[in-house]
Amino acid sequence: VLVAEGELDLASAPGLKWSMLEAVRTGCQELVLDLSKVDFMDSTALGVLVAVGRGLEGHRIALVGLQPDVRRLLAITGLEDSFATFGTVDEALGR
Amino acid sequence: LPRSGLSTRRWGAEALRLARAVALSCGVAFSLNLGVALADPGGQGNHGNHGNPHGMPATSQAGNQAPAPGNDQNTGGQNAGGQNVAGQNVADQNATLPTTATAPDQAASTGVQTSQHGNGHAYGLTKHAQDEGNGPRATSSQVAQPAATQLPDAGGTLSSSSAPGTAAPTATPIAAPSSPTPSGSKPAKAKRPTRRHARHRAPGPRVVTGSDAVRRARRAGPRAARATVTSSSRPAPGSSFRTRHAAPAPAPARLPIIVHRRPESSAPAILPTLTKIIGVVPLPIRVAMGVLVALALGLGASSRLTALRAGRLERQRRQLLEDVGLLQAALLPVVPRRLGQVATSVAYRPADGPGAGGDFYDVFALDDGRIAVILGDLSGHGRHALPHTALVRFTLRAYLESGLSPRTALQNAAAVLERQLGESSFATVIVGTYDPGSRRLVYASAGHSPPLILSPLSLNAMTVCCSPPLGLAPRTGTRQTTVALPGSAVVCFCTDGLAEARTGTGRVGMDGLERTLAELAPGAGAQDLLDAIASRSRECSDDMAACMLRIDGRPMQAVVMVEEIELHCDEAPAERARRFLDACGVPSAQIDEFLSAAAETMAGARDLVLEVTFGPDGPQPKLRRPDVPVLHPPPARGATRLEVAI
Repeated sequence: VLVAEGELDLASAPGLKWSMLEAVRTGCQELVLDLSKVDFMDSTALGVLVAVGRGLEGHRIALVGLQPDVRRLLAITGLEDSFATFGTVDEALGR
Repeated sequence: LPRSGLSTRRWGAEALRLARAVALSCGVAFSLNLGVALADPGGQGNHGNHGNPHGMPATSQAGNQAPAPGNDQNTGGQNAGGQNVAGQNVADQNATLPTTATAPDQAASTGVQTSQHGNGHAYGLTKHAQDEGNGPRATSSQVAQPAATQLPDAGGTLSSSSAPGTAAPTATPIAAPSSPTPSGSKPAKAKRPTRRHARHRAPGPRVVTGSDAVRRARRAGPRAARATVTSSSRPAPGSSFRTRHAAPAPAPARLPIIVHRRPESSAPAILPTLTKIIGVVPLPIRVAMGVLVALALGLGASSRLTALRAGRLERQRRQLLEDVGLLQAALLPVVPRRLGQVATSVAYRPADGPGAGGDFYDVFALDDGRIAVILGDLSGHGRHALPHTALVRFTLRAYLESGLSPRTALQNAAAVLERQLGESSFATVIVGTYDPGSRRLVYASAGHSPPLILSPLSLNAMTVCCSPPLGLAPRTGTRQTTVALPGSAVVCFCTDGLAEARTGTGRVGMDGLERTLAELAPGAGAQDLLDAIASRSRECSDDMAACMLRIDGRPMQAVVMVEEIELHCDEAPAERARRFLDACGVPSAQIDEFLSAAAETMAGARDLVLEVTFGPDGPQPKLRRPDVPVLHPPPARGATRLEVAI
């Protein structure tokens, strides 16, 4: 489970990518990204999520706690189906 | 000064004075002089070499000056070519002490020295003769000449006058008449201080310090020291400087003129002070100081080189940014101000900082009278994004010009561009056409925000089942919207840099963007919109691009006529169709009925277009086959990706 805070944009996208790839490198194939404290995300960060998601074998990245702006970005880009979305981390983990 | 008697504090003070002196008069040549001073414990070499403008080997000078005061003639000769520091005083010293100058051994050394240094530049006595021939600065040679002619060894004099260069032709005839003048025999008259004469006769004061004379005398021997003390002990209130100036040969009473000056008013006073300090500093400390000075000079040179390099890099960076801007401008076409009845305007504003290169647009007229608009934003910035922006723009334009609708143009372009863009790059694009005849706007998006439509109220676009960006998914260009614009309207396509511009409290946002668009003056264009956004935002971290269509007419509200989605057999078509119909406002009972009736058709078809028409009877769904079959390029057998190096 990765927790992001603040804004995911051109400046913070490389850090997000590094963190997610580090998690994948350590053997995690099911990633849960908590975005409940992210109130803004741009297409660059979304591209990072898609790129990392392509590297997962048969799993989708689970996005948790989408804020309105993030949800709108996912809708406009038509990438809602590329991710599994949940309200809370517990739901994403199936508890 | 007794060297052993100096305290540490005294050494510190001396070192400070030395540092100040170095800071004031330092240069590369002076560092060489300091090296001479280190080699010459007397310190005289430093002083004499200061006037050497030709890079003479300083060590030979120091060695020559060591044996006798007669060597000081050489110092004076060099000063004639450069600074007037010591030469006049030396000549004066010789005049005051004729016995010193006539000593045979000293004369011989003078001659030898002159022949050594008289290589093309006439150092030594010959140079004095040249000075005399050149004008009123004759006193030096007038004094020097007797000293030379009194030498029993004629060889020294001959070698002096035979020095090649400019000195020989003029020096000899003019120096000859002055030679009989026994200036050295009238030392008492020569030392009468007359400041007025000094100003009147000399082209420039020739200054030397009394401390020089003391030091020189100390080194030269007891006789010279005595004589110098005698001369400097004359009543000369507040003077430690003596200047000797020109005097015509026939008037002996006006020959030597001494000018007293305050030491603080003379710039070269620092040099004797420095020399004096060096004279009393022990050798190891002098070596250390020399190393420090050399280190300081080296650091200074290194700093200067670094500054130069930084300046050059900054110029290169500016040039590169300009190049990126030029390339970007070349990729952004010039758009006509008006296409038919539609006023068109475009604007582009690069991001703050080196982030230009991601946005692109195009507005052009199609053969059937429609106006086409392409606007997009490629991921990444800078020069790496430029080739792809050009590729995407021209690919889309080609499909639009071939007559395809915006959606099918995107769909076909996506199949081609997916391989070209690679995995690390993608583009959000919106493509639209406006038909002035039917007053209909058709647009399709690939991961991009829908256009803002004011007519006169803004029209809310449906954002369900949107198409993904080019390069992020194998299929895009599946959605299309048709809007009727019966009256006046403003249609604005813009990149997300506008809505994402930072304001003082957050970001502009889509609402703020719509508000800004609505508040624009009538007739305002895309540039006005960008200016308004930039003025209210604190930072524009992304490119901003906008294409605006201003459609004239009566104030009538725009309405969505048709929403359509292409369903693919592999993408859960029933579920997508349900979601789409629900978003279009189709009642759920009608959705169930429609989907059950269409199940058989959907199961048997690979691609189907679900179309919802909004009319007076509400939304009416309809299934149909695609107008244009999607091109499926054969699998790539080789690498055909666009590789452009800029």
